[in-house]
Amino acid sequence: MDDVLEQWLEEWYATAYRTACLVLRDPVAAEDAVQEAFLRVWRFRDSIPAGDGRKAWLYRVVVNACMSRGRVEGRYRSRTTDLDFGPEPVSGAPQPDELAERSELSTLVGLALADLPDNLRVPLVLRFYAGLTEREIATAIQRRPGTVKSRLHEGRRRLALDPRLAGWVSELEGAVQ
Amino acid sequence: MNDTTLEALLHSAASSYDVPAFSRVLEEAGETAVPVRRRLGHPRLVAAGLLLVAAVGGAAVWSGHGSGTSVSGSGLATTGSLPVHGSAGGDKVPAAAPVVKGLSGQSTNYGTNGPAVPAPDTALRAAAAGPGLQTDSTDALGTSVAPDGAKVVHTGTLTLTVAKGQVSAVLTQVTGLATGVGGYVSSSTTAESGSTPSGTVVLRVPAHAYDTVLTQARTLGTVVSTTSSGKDVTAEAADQQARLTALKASRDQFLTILAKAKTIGETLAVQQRVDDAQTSIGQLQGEINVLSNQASYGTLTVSVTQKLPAAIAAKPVHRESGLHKAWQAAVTGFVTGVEALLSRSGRGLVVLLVLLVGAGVLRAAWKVGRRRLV
Repeated sequence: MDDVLEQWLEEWYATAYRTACLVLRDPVAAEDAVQEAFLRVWRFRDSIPAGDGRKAWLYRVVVNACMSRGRVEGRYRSRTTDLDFGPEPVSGAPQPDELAERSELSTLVGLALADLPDNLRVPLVLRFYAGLTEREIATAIQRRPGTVKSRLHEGRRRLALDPRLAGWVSELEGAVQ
Repeated sequence: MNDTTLEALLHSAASSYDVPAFSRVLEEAGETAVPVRRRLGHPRLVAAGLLLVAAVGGAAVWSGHGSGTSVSGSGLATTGSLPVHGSAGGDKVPAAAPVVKGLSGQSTNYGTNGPAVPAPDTALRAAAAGPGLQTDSTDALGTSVAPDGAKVVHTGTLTLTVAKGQVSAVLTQVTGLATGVGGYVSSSTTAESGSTPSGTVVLRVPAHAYDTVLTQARTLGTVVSTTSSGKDVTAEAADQQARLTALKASRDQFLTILAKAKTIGETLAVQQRVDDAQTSIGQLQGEINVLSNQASYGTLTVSVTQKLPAAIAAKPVHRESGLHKAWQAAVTGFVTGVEALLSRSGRGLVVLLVLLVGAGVLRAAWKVGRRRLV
């Protein structure tokens, strides 16, 4: 069972880590938070629910760890820094111009996310990056599905109004069409 | 902004973070999992639980009355040296036979202050004959009971003042009164504060001579105060005896079963039941012994102090001014009013305090719960 659990955690490690990065906006704090969360999962592995609830349960632990970490470090409410966004080199050896373009986009998205309060940012990240359903998000953040829905709506509305993303949004939606 | 665009934006932002290697973060966790400990799923359940606890606590306080006249603690403190026979530890049962050996720890040493009390032979005979002979109507300790069979626990206090230099003599006389009727001194203390010596003796007096001793002791000095109370414990004693009989019958049945056990598992299981029953029997026997002793010997606490010199006793009253009197009257009235308020609403205040504490805990728990959420 331990091997299966370890494999399962390894599969979710990258997504959980990047989710924490988007929530905390600090790679170091995110790594600590995810490690703490995974240790907690490991210690309480007898409590892991079976079936579809596992994913939501895992993210609940991760989100709680992020909130604790952010609270401890007093950073998660900070709106002042964007130095942690974008400087990390992307694996896969992209071309320099692609790298610059992607870095600029990620920086702008990071800034826009940073302007959102936690209660809007976390559901957005869980829904549109981690791929959780609204019901799973409700489990992860211990709120009703209706609350999750309204927060997703509000978060999306605020991001859409962010002038820093306007150009990229139109470009992306034009490319899709 | 549609879902696809939003996903693209967030994935783009996320992909700028290099994922560290999945080093064995689990190595720190050790190999043992923490047992499942389910938490209440909803703060409202916690709130309901706390309110229930507060309500039950309040109700308990509201309905909390004393169950009767309390028995002096000083008498109980010397239980180990009192004429209590057949202690819990001595009531051991061998594994093969349901025979109670008991009564091996008969102590007649009652401390340094009091003389040894003669062992009640009738009690020894009754108890040594085995548990089957002890019924509700048989008092194994030879306890003195009222003519109608009632058992009464007597407790009382007597405070005397005596002439100068007579404290020790009166204490000796009081002790002699108790020992003369078969009682003994449970404890005694003497003190000398300034020029006023005083002393206190706690006497255990046979129940049948309790009133006589109290009456005689009152004549040895000037009575300052006296209290006396009696508590009928007949029903309690009968109930304990019935429970003891039932427990012994149950234990005997287990012993019979134990003799027929064939496997180790069966033997261990039944032996555990026998041990449990035996433990309960021992505890109950101890309670019965204590109660019987309390009913057999009343507890009389006699305090003797020296009379104050006449010059001090007749100290002239200090003349006070009208303003001072008015101030004193105001203070006294205020204190009296507060006391009356507290005495009449004491339970209500306690309930209110319990509810306030419960509400505080609830609020703290709610805040803690909320902090972990997004």
